[in-house]
Amino acid sequence: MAGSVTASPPSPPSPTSPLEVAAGTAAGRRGLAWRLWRQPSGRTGLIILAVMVLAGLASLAGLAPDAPDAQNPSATLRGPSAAHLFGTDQFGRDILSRVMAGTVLSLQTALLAVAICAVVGTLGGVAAGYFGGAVSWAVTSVADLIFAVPSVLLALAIVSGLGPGWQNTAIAVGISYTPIFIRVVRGPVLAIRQAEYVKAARVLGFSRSRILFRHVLPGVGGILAVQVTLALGWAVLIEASLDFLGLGPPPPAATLGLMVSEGTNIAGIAWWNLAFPAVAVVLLVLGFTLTGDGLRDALDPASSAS
Amino acid sequence: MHVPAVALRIALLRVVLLRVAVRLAKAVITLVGVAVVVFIVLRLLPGNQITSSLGVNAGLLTKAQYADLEHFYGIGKPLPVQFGQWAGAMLRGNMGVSEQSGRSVTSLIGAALPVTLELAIAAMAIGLVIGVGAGAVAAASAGGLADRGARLIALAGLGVPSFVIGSGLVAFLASVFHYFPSSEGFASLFSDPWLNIQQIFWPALTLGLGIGAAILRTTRGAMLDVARQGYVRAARGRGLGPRLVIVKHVLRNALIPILTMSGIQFGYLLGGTVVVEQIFVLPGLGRLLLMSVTESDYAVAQGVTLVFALGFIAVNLITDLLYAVVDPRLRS
Repeated sequence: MAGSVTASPPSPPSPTSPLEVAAGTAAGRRGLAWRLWRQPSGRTGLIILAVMVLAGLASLAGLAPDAPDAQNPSATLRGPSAAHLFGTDQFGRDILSRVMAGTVLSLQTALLAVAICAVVGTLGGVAAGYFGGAVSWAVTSVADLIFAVPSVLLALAIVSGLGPGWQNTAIAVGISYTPIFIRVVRGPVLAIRQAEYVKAARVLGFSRSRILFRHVLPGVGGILAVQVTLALGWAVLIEASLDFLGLGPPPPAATLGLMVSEGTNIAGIAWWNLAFPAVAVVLLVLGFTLTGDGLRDALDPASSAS
Repeated sequence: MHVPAVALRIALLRVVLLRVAVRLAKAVITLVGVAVVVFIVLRLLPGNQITSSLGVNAGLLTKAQYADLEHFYGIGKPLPVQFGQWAGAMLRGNMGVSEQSGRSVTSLIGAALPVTLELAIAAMAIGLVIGVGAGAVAAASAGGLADRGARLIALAGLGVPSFVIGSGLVAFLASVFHYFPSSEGFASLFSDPWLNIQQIFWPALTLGLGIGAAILRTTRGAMLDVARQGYVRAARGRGLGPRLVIVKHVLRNALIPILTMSGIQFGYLLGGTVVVEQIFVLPGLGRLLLMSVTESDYAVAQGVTLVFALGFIAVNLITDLLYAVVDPRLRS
């Protein structure tokens, strides 16, 4: 233990929880992927996500059966068949192609949203936890204020102000989820701040940014990984809900939420208009939720026992 | 012997009252903060009352006409003055006038609030019955068939967004029962209770399923945690039957996490009302908010957001205070 204090890039010594072990070392990470795969929920989640991401990539590569907005007046409201696996909508558009395009939109919105809240929330949480005092007060007050408005309502208000567009949806969802990252990160940082290896780094005169990024941040890596995965599922859910309410990209766009909303009205005569986009949303949300649950259990074996 | 006991009681009561007061003050500060943020955000957005009511024609106004309209809407003055006027009016119960309907915001909210309140209470009740009931059964048969079934259903409940459940229900009701939510006007609980219950049940179920799933998972986890405690084994050792132990010892002590989760779910519930009221055409606060937001009816959007925030803050406050009732350790 004493030797690691003098070594300049200290691998986190005196690990206090399995979480830090798993997040800190390369061996831990390899073991983590394996443990995630061995969890039934983690494995199911990963498989679902792989299918959805592949479908999205295929759409981006132009491998979808048809263009998402290509209308065909002679083949409207056809049921699922060999020509149209998921059937067609009232304009004769191929639903499989639209679901694939919608999956891309959902994923890119969720990724941008979570990038925003993870970066802002982590920086805020680390700053609040590490510096304490006025910084902590300012950050947690802002987080509490955002938290005082239910997140769906907040996202709704922001997106209606910014106007339609997937980037704006992402910004709205990102802002409304930021306080959760602040809260999740701040607690562990408070503890890590007092850890021997951080004290040692301070004594050795390392710069503040070096301590924060090389010593403190890796300690919350595991928690962040879980939170990012869960946030992605939540972002897909809110994004689809906003699209469903008509606050996302306007109609020609193939968003899953809009497809569910349009499909509901004609579900009685053409169920596939509602069913396939709905299943796609559910799979995306479940995929992220299951993976996040699995990741949490893999990082902290004690929690999986319950 | 008697006097010190009374003194102790009074001292205890004082501590509890002080904590309640501090918690109340915090809630009020948060509410004021939210009011400031809502006010600023709505002012920062592009457009104002003049452009939203006149559209592109606002550009045709002369300077004098524009200034007159600014005065009419009270938006010409500096922001702090505007906020002072607005906050003062709010405290007198005057939330402004809707630019779209010309009705006062207070009356619009007054008409919509009972609908949302009824929906929220019904959804929470459904969620608690499903969640605590199924969660307790799952925990009692941990690892068994009932447990696995309950966990699978809970997972589905968490993964399926409320708008998907709602859309599915509407499609199902329409094709099987030829029931359309919009076919009749909304009946209040007092004017036509039977019709009202029919209209509230399905949206409440839509929201209740999601809440129930989350509460189920929490209940199950908390009960299994409690069941490992020594006093539970001691109770069994004293010869108490398994059912009595589960209800009196395990469930009672698992109430705190369940309470926390229920409080969290209430926020989700408030957001969910926007979606579900839209699907089932209920004239509640959520629908009012969505309409005001899409029509840039600032006064209404502001008022409804504040009412939602107030409800959320109040529930968090009640949850905190309930901890003291449920957990005797927190009272000391």
